[in-house]
Amino acid sequence: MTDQPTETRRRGVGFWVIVGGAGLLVIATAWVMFLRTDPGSYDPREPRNIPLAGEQMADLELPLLDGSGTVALADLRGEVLVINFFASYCIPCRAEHAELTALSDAYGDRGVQFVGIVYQDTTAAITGFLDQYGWGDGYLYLQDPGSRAVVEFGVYGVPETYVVDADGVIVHKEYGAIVAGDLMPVLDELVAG
Amino acid sequence: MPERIRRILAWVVTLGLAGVVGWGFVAGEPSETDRVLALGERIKCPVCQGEAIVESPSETAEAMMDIVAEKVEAGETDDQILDFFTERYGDGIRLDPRFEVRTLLLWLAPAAALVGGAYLIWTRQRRAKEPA
Amino acid sequence: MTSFLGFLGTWVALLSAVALAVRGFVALRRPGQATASSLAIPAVGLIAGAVVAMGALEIGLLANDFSVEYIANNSATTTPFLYKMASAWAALEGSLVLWGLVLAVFTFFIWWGMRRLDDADPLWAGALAVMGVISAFFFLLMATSSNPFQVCTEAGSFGFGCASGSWQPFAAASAPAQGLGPNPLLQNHPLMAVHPPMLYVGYVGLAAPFSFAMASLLIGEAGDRWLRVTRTWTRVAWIFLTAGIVLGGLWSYEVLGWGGYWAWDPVENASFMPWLVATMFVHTAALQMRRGVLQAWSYALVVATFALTILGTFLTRSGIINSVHAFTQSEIGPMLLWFLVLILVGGYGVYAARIQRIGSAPRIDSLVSREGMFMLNNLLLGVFAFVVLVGTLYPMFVEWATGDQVGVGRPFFDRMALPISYALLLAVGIGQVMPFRKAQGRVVWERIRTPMRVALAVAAAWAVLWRPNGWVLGAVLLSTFIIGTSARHLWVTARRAAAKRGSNAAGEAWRALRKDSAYWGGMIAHVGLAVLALGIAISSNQAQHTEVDLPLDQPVDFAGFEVTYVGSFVDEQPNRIAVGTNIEIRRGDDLLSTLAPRLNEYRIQGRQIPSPAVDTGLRGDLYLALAGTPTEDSVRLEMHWFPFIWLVWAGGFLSAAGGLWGWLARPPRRARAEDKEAARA
Repeated sequence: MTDQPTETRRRGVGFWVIVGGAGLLVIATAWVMFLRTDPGSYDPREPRNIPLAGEQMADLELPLLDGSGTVALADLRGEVLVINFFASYCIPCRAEHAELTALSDAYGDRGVQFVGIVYQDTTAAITGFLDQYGWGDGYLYLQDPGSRAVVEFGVYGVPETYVVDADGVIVHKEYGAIVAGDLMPVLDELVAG
Repeated sequence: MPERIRRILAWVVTLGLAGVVGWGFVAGEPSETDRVLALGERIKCPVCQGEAIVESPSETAEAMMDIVAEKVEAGETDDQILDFFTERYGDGIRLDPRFEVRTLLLWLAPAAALVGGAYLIWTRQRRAKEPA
Repeated sequence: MTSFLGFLGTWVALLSAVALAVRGFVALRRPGQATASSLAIPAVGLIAGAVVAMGALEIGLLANDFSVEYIANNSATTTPFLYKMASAWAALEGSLVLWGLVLAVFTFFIWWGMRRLDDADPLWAGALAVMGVISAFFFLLMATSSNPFQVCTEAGSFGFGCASGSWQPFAAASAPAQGLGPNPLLQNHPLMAVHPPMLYVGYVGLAAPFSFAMASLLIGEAGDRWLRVTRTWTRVAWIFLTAGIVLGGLWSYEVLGWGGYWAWDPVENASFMPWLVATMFVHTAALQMRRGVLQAWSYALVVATFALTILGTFLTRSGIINSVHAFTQSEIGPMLLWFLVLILVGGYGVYAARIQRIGSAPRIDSLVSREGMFMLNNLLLGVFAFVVLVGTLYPMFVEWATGDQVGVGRPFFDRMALPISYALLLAVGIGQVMPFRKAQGRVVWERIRTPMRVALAVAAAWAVLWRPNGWVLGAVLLSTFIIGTSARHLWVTARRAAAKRGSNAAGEAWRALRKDSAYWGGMIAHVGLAVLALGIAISSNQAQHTEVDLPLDQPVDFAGFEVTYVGSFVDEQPNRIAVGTNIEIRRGDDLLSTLAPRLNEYRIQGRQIPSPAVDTGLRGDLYLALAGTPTEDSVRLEMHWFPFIWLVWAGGFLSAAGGLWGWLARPPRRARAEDKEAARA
């Protein structure tokens, strides 16, 4: 055994720690480059966050909010649907409410049916909410017992809004509150086509 | 020699015990795996922070657990059930990532670290032994 | 008033921390100034400022001073006393105050230790300088991006909470009539009052060895003095981190209502990674102090440990867990990230620049030795930490890079952690009795022969009697092996000493435990680990679960118990309404207990939190949680049976106690000196 430091000895752990760290960085960077070149996988504007886009909407039968019966979503086929999940305790829902009712008024007679589905809330609270902020004209308000519709549509939280074409295919989704103009191009295209 | 006999006996007993334990590993009753709960651990609760649906008390998670239970009852396979949720919520809903290009590093990194670390210790040790 | 006091405290602490850093670093250049007295003012100023800030926050909370934004949004008049206190660390801004206080206390203790030195000492001055930099950063966060003392300038809607605030302490306040109260989950169990502070002491305590390591590198001092000086602080940090994690598990178990204690979620992982690397560090530090090997590696580990605590803070506090994009919107996220980069680049930069001066340490003679087992321990724990790190960061990484989502959770971590854990248990059992330098097969065999046979006998009996599955059987085998090798070692040590002194073995065992308390503390921690492993294996593999509709007065059988719903109640408290049920638990004709699982509805937030009820027994826990609002004549109930789950807590606390033993059980200095005299004579 000797004690005088030699080149290889001096390099020791320090060398390996630094090389290891740098190596990890290089691998990570290369990995990012590689993943981004994967065709069609990277588009910051439209992350692939609408898993159901292009899929047929689930066929569910949901009770009306006023308790006067049920509506099967399949029966609404033939019309373009705007399906909005909302709740009384949800602050952004208040912000978008006027926007939605205005849109419903504007597109209601052009073959677009607006549907509000109550997201995990009590009938009393949601009725109070609508009394305060206004019921949409020709708007369908549905309950969602057991959160079946929530899961079928893949809802993360409220508010979320889906656009379904006349064939019952989900074509668009908005996360968060609708802002003026968000939906118009989509609806215009569907109504025209 | 009694000492020798004692030793042999000790070995026989040890091997016998090892045999019983080995049998125990093979013959042990597999723990009762509840498929619903097992699946519930593999699906992320969409409204929570990194919780599985089996863990979360949120309404959405409860609803998803109910759906899992119904589907298990109806005889669907694990893959079918996982696919049902993946279709609706995307790959992020799986807590048990698939082995694919995107997750290659995730699955290989631990093995690479183990092999790399062991190699490092081994070579450094060898080099230290050589006279400098 | 609260705002002003807090503002004052924050700035006094911030300026003191800056002064401490500047003076400490200057003292590295002019060693004559590296004395405690020249650093007295900033060191005392730092702790004074931190105490004032914390005091202001607590007084404000207790006095319902809703003119402070943080208090208005995290406390309410109806919040019970204990949770008002705990609200100080229920959210980001307040938890920074606690963090800063703990940091200041550690800094103060270092300064206090320095006062006992006779001469100027650049090592201590440098360490204080680094502590000053860290403190300055955290108080800077408090003064800028995450100010807990912002004045509420606009009350929230309906007079609840605060909508916006101003950093100016004399801004015109508009206090809401009522605060929002803490997150319901955080006011549902008293453990909330102790678990976060313990974790913080653990996290922050690791800054002490980091600071001394940096100072030792900066002044180019070889040897292990920095390790000896920081021994106690490292140990305290490890004990608190261990106990904090176990308490966190207990909290999840008692509050979340699904009977689990560990979910591998990013917040838990954030505390587990530093624990793993700190455990590696504790081991290599012990080895270095004893044999002088692995000098460079100890430095590398201590930087990694501290960097991981900052990474943990970043993960839990930046909002990145919710979404990779959320953290850029918070101001604190990027600041923490930059600080992490500073620690990594600064730490490893100093390391790379100076490590050659520290010189090379003696090499390990053979891998088949205690030293070799320490390497194996480091390899396994290191891979474990790496797995947790990769698994935690991977989803964020992929989402950031591609916008795609990938989920990594429990199934992945379990799959990776299980083999590593069993390998670790085996390594612990053999490693703790491996001879130093170079082990001869005969000696090792001698030491493990009997424990191995005992373990085999216990496992064989267990297999025949209870037919467990392989995981449980493996845990039984390895745990008894660890306990066996520890016990045998103690017994042999004691008997040898007894023969030499002619005293009795039991007394000698006690003496040995106390004399070499650091070593035996480690053994106790290992036994704790064995117990913990056994508890995890049994309680998870042999658990039973069911969910039933329980009609009134109609008993249902579950896990050998008879469970009956006998009535419901409503309990109105100031902050919540509890809807509960009374459930009688019988075995045979004996009434074992009446459990009351409830749904707590918090008034202000309007959120319902199920609160489980547990009947704890020696054979296991019967765990009941409501799965829906109970009605007069039926209740939907989730029932779990977790056999021997108390072993999990017992094992975890035993491990922490092992650390405590190593710290506190040493005989007083005088007795040790006498001992040495006796040995020399």
